[in-house]
Amino acid sequence: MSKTSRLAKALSKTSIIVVASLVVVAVVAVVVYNFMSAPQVTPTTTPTTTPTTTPTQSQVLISGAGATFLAPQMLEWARSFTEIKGIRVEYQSVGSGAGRDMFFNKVVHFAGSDPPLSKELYSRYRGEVMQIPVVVGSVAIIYNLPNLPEGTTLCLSGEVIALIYKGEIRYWNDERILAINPGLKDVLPSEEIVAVHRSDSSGTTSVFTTYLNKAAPDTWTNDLVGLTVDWPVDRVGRGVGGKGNEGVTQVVKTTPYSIGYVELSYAITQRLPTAAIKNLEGVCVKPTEETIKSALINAVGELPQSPLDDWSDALYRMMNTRGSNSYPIVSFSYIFVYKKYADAQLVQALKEFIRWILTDGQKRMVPGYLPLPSEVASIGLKAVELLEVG
Amino acid sequence: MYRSMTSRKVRNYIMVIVMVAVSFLYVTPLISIIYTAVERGGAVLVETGLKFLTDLPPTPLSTSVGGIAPALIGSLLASALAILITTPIAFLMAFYVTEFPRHSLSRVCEVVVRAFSGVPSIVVSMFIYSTVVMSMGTQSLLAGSLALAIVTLPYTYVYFTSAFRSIPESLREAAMSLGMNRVRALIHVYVGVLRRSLLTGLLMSYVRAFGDTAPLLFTMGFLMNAVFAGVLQQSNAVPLMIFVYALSPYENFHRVAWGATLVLLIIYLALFTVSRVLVRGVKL
Repeated sequence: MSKTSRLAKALSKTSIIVVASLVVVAVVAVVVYNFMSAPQVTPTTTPTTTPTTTPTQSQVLISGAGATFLAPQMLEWARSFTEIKGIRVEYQSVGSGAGRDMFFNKVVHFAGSDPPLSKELYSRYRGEVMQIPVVVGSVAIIYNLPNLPEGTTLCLSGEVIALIYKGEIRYWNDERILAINPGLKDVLPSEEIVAVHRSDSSGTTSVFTTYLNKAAPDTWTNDLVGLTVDWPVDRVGRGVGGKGNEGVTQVVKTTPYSIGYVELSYAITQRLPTAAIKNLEGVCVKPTEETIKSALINAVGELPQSPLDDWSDALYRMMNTRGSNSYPIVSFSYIFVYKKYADAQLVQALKEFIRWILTDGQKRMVPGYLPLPSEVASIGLKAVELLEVG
Repeated sequence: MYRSMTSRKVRNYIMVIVMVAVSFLYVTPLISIIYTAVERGGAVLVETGLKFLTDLPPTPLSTSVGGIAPALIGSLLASALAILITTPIAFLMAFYVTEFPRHSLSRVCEVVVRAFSGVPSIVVSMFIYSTVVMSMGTQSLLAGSLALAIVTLPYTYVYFTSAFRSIPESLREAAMSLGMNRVRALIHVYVGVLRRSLLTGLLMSYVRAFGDTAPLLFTMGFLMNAVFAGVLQQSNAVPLMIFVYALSPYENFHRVAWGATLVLLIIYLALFTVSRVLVRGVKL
């Protein structure tokens, strides 16, 4: 009896303390919020251009999330755009998949993605979501051949790479490799080829396998294309996985007679030796800004002509294009935006942002990232006109 | 007799050597981490000075190292908010569970907290993302704080319960014999006796929240172009920034990450030292 009443008393006091502490928490939170948000910090330099659009620009925030590959370039663009136009842009590098999820749940305003929307997703969001290519990507083939003399370049064809990754070409001095590299007959060793691939789900793998599928459809069949692949070469014990571009690079660097594929920007910043690839016209071409641009200009006719179109097979279409100076493996990274946003200021800001990254922004490329040819940029620029309030 | 003595001594020496070697193995990585962080991060901090704490982070084309202001402010605030949320809950739960250990509600509390401590922090992040973030329509410092609060709650709770359990039974009986009920005993006796160890628990929870990355991955967002945007807006955190910057291929990004690592380490060691000093001061 006395115990229960004491308990009741104790509980009532406890509840007073609970309420009191909750009140304290709330009050402190409100004070902190008001105090901290009052001195709104504007970025380092004030906008030098006169505000031609809305006077309350600084209130608008554009947020994006997605592909890690796109992140360094996006961070650069976001900072420059914030400084020049006074509209703050933030981008978080969470991966293409997570970025899309945030975009479709309307947690962020735009998504960055390496692959375009799949056919299925496209039909679900047809007319609602616009896909805009913003940077060019490419995949480089890297190799470790210790006895290859300085200055010589290995050349490979899609067919040969496909056979290596299928495990059917086993030695470096295989006659199918020698046939493309007549100058290297005495240098290519009779050593087993170790084929290094990504162990994680990766857009790079998707680009690489799409190329193999297009260049050698009979050898590299449709079921071997995707973000992750059941590598045939693993089954014969000559395949090795590496996590991320850095993982693949590490394995190739430390394993003599190995071959691997990485994002071109990574190969450039890390100064890795890259193989030339035999293009559609039979010329061995190394990945450079020039050869990739040539490939894209030849591919423009094959590409969808509007951001509202289905881009799902754009990757396949732009692989292995014509042009004697075209590097055959190219891809885009995209941003996804909605066609309609409720907030008029946001629409205005997004229009400016998209226009800026496709024009002036293309002159502010981070090393390793390639600007879009103006023919491709103009497809994306149509999105600026299409964006509307609604 | 004599022989067995020596063999005992020999065995003793061998075991001592093994123990020293094992503890050395254990401590070496820690020392190496601290050394590398001080060496690499120190160079950055010396070069930039205090600006490292007040500038915006660099971009790949930046020529300077910049600073970590958004991350630092975000971390300080988010951890503080998280502690503000967990402390009252953990305090009341710990008090209740130690005072009424056999009560069924206490058992429920115990089980729930233990279950919480086993949840991977990335799951907490996803949970807050799918509830708070999606309903708010944006990631925010508040969402990050909530995720941190869930992750730190078990720690705070454990610190507090061990504090309450350290109260000598004689003190408790003395308080009761003076006619105090449990709440009065808490206010007038326990809190006074335990203030240092409670404060230690608070500090350690704060440190724990400060260093955590995974709960913030989907909840906090990423803030690069403003120092602070508001509690309901995206923010940044020191470990989050280290994570993103260390994975990039750019030299200046790596330097910032090292500098940020050293700052994190300094904050951690400072708070840790303070809490140790507090513990030493506890007298019963």
